[in-house]
Amino acid sequence: MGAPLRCLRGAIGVLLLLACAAGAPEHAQPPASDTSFGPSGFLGDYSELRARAGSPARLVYLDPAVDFSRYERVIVEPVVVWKSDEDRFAGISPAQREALAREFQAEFERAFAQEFAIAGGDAGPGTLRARSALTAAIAVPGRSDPERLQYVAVELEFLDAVTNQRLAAAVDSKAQVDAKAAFGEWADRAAARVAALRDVDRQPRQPETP
Amino acid sequence: MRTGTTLLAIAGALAVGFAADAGSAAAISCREWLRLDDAGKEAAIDEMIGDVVGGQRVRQYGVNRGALGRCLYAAVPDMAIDFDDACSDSRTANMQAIQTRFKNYVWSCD
Repeated sequence: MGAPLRCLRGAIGVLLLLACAAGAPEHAQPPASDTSFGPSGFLGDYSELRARAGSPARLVYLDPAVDFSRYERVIVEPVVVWKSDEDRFAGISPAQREALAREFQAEFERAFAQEFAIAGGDAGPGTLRARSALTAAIAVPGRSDPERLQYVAVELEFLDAVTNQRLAAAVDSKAQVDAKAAFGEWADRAAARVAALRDVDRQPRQPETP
Repeated sequence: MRTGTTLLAIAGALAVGFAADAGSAAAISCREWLRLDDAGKEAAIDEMIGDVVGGQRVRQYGVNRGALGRCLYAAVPDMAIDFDDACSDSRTANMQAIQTRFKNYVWSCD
């Protein structure tokens, strides 16, 4: 075989490799730590949610006209494993997904029990309904410990339990985390902010008159 | 300078004794806001934040309370501009203008 032919075969080989790499489906690799999935569909309507400056993966919505001080109870709905796309749960078995969802729910109930009476499904006035979903959980490659995740994402919203009006919502994700710690932080963060909103709404308002 | 002021404000707000007054400060109106100079506006926002992070309810969430306070204090300059805008626009300058804007910061602060 002459040198030109070897060079040509080598070049074709490189081109084929590049073509294969370009054509491979994106989900063959879990996302890098600096990438994230978009909204999963769990919240349905995302048009009201806005990205935080400097944190495009995090979306938030609040109806600031709502008086949060009138809410005394919360119904924490079971956390859903929202499997809009199998790629979102790479390396995590269905049983592990459910276990993670239960873990998130336990953290949510713990955090909100500090601030609210947990209602068992009684949607009376003054009751919040918390809906949340685990929308992604990707295992660290080569590790069998489902508690250590390369990527995890959740979505949640608070509704008025009687009217189903959306009061607040958030979409968030984390990379390279311990699952329990991440769930605990999300739950505490949400509960602390709802507690803060209740305090803000309790403050008397000054009249506009001069 | 701002960093030092912020740290002092956080330390003050997180002090145990501060919480006694939580919830007692009135939410400021647009009329009152527009009368303030820059230093007064900053002080008013600091007080609003102090009321929140020093409040009994938020004190339950130790780590998150600190994070919320740091985030809110870091956003004071943005809030001042935001409140100016809200109060300068007749369509939004109602009694709740500042309170509603402030609540958005509370919910979205990371």
